[in-house]
Amino acid sequence: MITLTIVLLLALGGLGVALAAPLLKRGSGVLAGVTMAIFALAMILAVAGFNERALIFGSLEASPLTALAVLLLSAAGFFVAWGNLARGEELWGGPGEFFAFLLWGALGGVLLVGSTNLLLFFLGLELSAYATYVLAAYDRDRKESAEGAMKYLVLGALSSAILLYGFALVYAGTGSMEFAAIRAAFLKGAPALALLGALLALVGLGFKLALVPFHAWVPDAYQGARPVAAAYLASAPKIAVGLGLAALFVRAFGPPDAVTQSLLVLALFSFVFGNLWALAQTNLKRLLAYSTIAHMGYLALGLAIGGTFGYAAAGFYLLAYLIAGGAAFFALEAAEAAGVPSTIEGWKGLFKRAPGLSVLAAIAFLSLAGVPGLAGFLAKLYVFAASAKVGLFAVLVVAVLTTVLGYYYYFRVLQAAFLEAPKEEGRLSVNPSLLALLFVLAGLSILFGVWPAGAFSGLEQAFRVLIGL
Amino acid sequence: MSVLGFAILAGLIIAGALVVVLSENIVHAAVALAFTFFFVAGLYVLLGSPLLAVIQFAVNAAAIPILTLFIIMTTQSRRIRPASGVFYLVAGFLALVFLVGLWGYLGAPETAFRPLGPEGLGVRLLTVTLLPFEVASVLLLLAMVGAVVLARRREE
Amino acid sequence: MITLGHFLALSAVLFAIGLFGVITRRNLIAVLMSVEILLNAAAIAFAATAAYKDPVFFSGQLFALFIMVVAAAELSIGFAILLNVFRHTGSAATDVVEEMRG
Repeated sequence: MITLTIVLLLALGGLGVALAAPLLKRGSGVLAGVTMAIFALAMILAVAGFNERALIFGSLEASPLTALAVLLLSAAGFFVAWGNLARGEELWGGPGEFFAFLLWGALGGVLLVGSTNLLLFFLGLELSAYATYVLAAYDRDRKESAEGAMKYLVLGALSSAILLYGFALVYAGTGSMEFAAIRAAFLKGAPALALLGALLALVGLGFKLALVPFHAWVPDAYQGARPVAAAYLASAPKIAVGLGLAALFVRAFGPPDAVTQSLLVLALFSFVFGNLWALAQTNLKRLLAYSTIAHMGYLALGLAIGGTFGYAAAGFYLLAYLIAGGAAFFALEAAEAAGVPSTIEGWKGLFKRAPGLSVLAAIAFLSLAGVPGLAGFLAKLYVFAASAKVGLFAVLVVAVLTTVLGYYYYFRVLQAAFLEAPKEEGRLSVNPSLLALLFVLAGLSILFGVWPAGAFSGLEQAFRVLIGL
Repeated sequence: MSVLGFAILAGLIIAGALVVVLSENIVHAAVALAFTFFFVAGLYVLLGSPLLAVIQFAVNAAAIPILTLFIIMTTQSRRIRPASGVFYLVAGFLALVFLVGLWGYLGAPETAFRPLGPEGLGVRLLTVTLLPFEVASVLLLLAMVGAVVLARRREE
Repeated sequence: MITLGHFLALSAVLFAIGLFGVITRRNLIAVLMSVEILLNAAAIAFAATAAYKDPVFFSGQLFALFIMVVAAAELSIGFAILLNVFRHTGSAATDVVEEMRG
């Protein structure tokens, strides 16, 4: 019942916020607070019902994995709502409907991860995707926002259509929409049509995860959106699709080698090319976008390896990326709000002008790079350990080398911020609410960097139940 | 089911879809889209599912093309400049690869099909897919609120 | 006799045409129309499979219904964003989106 309560809470919470928004012309702060409270309540419920097992209306499975999705998605929504708390009204000129899309987007992700048939999977995916289209376009007074969102929507719609056609072929091959029946058919020797369908579905999900070569929309969408909205685009859909991919593989497609091997190739492309392209960027939003592509590559590597350890490593990667990537975007937001453009040039000498912000941003960038002591390092280590465990040594060497490449561009940002002289003088006044958010996120990065055991055992538990060991 | 009926409908659907993707006049493309979807509704009649056909007609063959025409009028679009030849080559190649790759596997031999009356579809909609049905309402609500928020003018 | 294979072949041809349109069209409205064709191709495959292979639940025909919902919702958000693009650039051609670079 707890999972059903969470689903209703998110759906009705979104409805309530959407209804209240037009009435509260000047009260976006109130809506942000309410949204944060709803997400916090969802997290508490998810922890309380972590081990609940039930099948809701025959299509939504309450399981530790679903609870995990609630936790991660609610955390992402919570932090994005917090990021908007400070300057909500100023930023968006009033419309507090913004927060309804956070809630509905999280709901879509939860349904996607918990679904037991193709239909609910697809609807959950669309729900979370539509929320992100709207959020990407939300800053409608800026041309870039509309253009980035348009590109995002067209490629997102194309990827949904490809995924949908893949599902149609799976259905045509197996004659059932239920994951359990599809899995049984795959275990008996996958029908060729269904296998092709699974590959098409992988292409569609690769688009959503921004894996190379399906990544073209990412830099434009992130650059166009406000950093606070980009923080959501970079975290929530990745959590939903990452966990959903694991659930789809395990529950429906069994282990067809062709599909996991294709995912492995996509992963390899992503962390090689994502890191290489990131080297050439001078705009920090585009740099973070390409680094996201690389991070999704490491995540996909964990997913392709599979098994309890591989999936748990991928899950931990999502957690670490959610914290550090979100913090990096919030740092950009804080700097932009203080008048610093999001370019390497603009960040020169930031330490002298805003020391607190610089140090907290540095922790986020170091965690993204994978420096020991922070969550990002352990996340990479777990994924590398998983690939060593299954004997993928060639892939492992490439992954380690590209990580070193990643150090270079993250340190280039830090070098500009800490070692170079500022072009303008004077201290910047950084928004205290955003600074507090960055402080919490930096604390979480350090916490999971030195004490990963609690989170990791929870992840292992969730995936052990999923696999059915 | 009559082979002739299927062949005619399939020919019309393919011809309509080709006009949609090839015509340089965007209004022609939108009208062709309406006809294509209308013939798809005919396909559903052949399959013995009249309710699906009616909804296909009302939503896909009527509402969506009308919405499209509204947007065409609002944005004053008339002609579509043709893409460069490279695009046509790449797209044609991709479409061909897709078709050839899939073609050999499409020959599902099933010959008997079962019709499904409106009652059957309706009952299944509210039993088998009850939760997705509710989710679809949230989806539509989200789309509605999103479209209103994005399209309305900022009040001064 | 019409088999399921005939329907699947038709839907594959339709999908290929839509794919061709998405890549070659240089107007955002036309691109979205091509996406509609893609969705309908999938709906045909679902509906036909349901009638031939899933005679108890007919879940594919239900899926086809939901695809219509999704198509309508997608189009409404797409057109809202398109209107914003048009407001800023005065055009619905794809090049206004393509030339965005950092």
